[in-house]
Amino acid sequence: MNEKDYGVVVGISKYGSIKPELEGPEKDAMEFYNWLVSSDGGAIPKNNVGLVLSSNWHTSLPANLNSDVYSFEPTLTRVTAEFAKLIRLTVNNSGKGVPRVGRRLYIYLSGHGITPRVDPTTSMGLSGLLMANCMEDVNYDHVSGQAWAEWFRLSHAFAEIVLFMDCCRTDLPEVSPMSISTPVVKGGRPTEVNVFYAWSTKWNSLAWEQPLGPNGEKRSVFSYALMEALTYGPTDVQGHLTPKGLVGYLSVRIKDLRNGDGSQRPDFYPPDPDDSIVLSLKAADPQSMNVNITFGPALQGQQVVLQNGADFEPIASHTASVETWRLSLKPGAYVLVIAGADRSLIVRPGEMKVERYDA
Amino acid sequence: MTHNSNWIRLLGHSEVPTTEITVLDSSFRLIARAVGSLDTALAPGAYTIQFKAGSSVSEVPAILRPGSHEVHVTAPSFTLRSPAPLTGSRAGEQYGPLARECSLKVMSTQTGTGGELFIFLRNSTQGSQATAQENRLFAVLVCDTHSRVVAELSEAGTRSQDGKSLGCSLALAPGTYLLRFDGASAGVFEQSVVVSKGWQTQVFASSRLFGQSRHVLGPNLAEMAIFMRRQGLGFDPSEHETLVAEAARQALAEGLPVAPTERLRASVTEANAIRGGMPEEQVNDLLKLKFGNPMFGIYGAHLLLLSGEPDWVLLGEVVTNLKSLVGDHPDVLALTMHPKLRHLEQSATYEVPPMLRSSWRLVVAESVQRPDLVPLYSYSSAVANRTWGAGAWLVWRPPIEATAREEQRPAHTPSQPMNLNFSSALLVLQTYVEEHLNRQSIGQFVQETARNGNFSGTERTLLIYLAGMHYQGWSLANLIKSQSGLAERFFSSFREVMSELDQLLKRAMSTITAHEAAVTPAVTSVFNEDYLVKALGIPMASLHQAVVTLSRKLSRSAAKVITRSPEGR
Repeated sequence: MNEKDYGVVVGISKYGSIKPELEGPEKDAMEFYNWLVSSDGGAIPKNNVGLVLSSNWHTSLPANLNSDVYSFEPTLTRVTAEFAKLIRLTVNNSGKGVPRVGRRLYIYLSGHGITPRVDPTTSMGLSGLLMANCMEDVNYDHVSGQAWAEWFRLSHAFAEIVLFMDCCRTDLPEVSPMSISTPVVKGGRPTEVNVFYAWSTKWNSLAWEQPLGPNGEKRSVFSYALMEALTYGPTDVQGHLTPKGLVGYLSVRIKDLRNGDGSQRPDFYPPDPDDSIVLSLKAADPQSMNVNITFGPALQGQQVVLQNGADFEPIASHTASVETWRLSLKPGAYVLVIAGADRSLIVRPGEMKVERYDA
Repeated sequence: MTHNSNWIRLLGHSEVPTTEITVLDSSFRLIARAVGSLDTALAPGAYTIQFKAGSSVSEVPAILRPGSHEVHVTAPSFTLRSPAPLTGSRAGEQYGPLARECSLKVMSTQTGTGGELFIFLRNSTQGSQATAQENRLFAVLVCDTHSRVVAELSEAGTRSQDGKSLGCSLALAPGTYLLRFDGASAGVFEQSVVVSKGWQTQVFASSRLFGQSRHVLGPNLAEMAIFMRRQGLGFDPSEHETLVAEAARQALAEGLPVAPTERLRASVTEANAIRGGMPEEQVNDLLKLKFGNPMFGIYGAHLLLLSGEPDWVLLGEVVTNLKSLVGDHPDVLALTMHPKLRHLEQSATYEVPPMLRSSWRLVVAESVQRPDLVPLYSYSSAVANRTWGAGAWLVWRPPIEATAREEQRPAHTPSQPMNLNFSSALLVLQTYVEEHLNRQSIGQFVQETARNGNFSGTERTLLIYLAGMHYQGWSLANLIKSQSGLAERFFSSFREVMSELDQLLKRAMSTITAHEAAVTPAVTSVFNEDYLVKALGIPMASLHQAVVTLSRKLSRSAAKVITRSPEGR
């Protein structure tokens, strides 16, 4: 187990008055939590993870039956309490070496979200997860994952910080940002802290949930793709899943899950990350996709060689005919050499590929 | 990634310079990123190149065989979703010719001449409810900065045969104008548009539904497409530069760090060549001929600011060129408010807000140093707390009374802020908030403050913000304290808790000898002028006025309570 890793996971599905009602956040947060504490995933002791879910307070009550919206849970205080535990550890260990608390901090926040008034040149990432007791035009209590992540970075509480924010980032310039009033614990070397922050969508854009998976349950598109990537995303040559693999996978997969609509485009910091944070040591092999290839009349009778896109090693060969060439391939880019000419074949995760080649 | 002599050069290009280009390897791992054009060397293999502009994303494969010299990939043509009827879109087919025709048919106004404003509105909302309200959509007023109506578009404009769009071109004296839409129960909305000498400002708005129940059809001011063309040329829906400018506007609206650096650099080089070979009096004319849509330069310059650490020399030269093209355009002057471009600064005051939200942010931030930048009692000051919506443009709900800005100024009050100490006045407000939060919930406090007719909008915003900060700090300190097991008793005073927390932190920090941590705006003090101006988005003079006035009101209120108290016993 990674005894020195910590996590704060929040999923808010039920809001007192904010619409539309959500189905995904709690399921998504639970799935991320399960990954965090599983030995194949984050391998974090359960005691090191703070989990805040709507169902801790609302099991069957429909959201709008509660007349006192302002007391709807979880509130800012509930969520802040999970961060406060880590602040206390940071403060208590301030006289010791760095990192003051542990190796890695994961923050995962899912629900409705906004971007308060921020300066886009410096602090656009301060988008916030809205709390359950928010009221339109009155109260926009929110938790900014990046503000907290930066607090722990500046306090050098951890060596690595990984943030996932799965919520809309609608720009609401009439809402003031909620700053963290506790002073950072100085004396660390915050520039040495490795961070990777991912937002489900770009600034001032919406993030969607939709029926996904074999049961057709409503899930967040970002979190669904994130869990796929964490489970069997593209690894480096050592078999490690790093932010490079995650960024590439999410860039392809979210567009596909949204049927080509590019308006939900995930956002990352740093935008061009390196391989220094290893998110998963043993990502599983991705599921192979069925690929059906047909050939136009002019190509029939030609010899076709399928090559791996990484090193051009031959994988299969075939004589083109009227028959469909049926293959099972892992997602990725391949090369078909037909009559001496290179043709591209891109197999996308999660979907059957049907490709036709003509002369 | 280590460079190897066997690697192959990969060149990517998009006709739209704000296109984000992402290179993925054969297993979809991120390999490289670029904006507009790509020039990199990669190991042999099969790659996927993603081109993203606006909401369009397309992918192109690239096969880099060992032994190849270089491989070129080009982005497919983009079709942007835009309020402007651009060629290639359905709206372009339907309304492009009408928009062009209307843009060339210029009507005179009483304001004078020198520039032009072309406005094209289009009902893009589906449903019979929207169709029934088309007259309302077109009821947009063009006003001068004194709120006098210059033109009423529903009367002055030409409607399409299907009645779903309307265009109107006006000859106007150069300056700033206000577009005003009255959405009845949904409220009134305004935005600035700037007309520059020798240019036609072209404004395109699609429609949206306003109001909490989404029942009022009106122009989508926040998502407008705005271009500039030399007078006499009109709108050309097929022009490539228009598409390029619109893509840049959309990138700015989405806050994407996709500055068209190379295109701007090339433009600067061309402009310098013109400057070098021509007499000064001819330079501006030639620049206008060369650079047909200065809005691209304005969007591009603001995008440069978004790119983290921009090339300040380049940005300075872009600003200089833009000044030559469009004069003292408020959104160009706003760029000189950035601390690193102050050497280009000219005297400016913003009686009326600029067009772009990003300009307004620069102006508000600079007002800490120059409170007179946004004069107290100016229209900008009056609407600063009434901004609305999102996107590239600054939209606001004007004060309900037409003469609000005059009524704001007490007859006996000088135009400068009252000469009271900001910090002492702020302390009065903090004490007021603290006392109230000791006896009522934050929810009650917020709701009571929002209903209190004695407070101005800015004063309410300030009090609610301070209350939120106090509450958050109090909660956090209490949480830390309760978890530390120091005491379980209830803390009646926020200050007491903060004081103990401070001591705890001081003890902790006294043992530390390592380097000082950097401090970001997110964690510095929230109670200084600079931070409050940025957090509340209210210019310095107005904020100062609100703090001082409110502290006086609250002091008087407290004094009354004290005076009355003996009688109550």
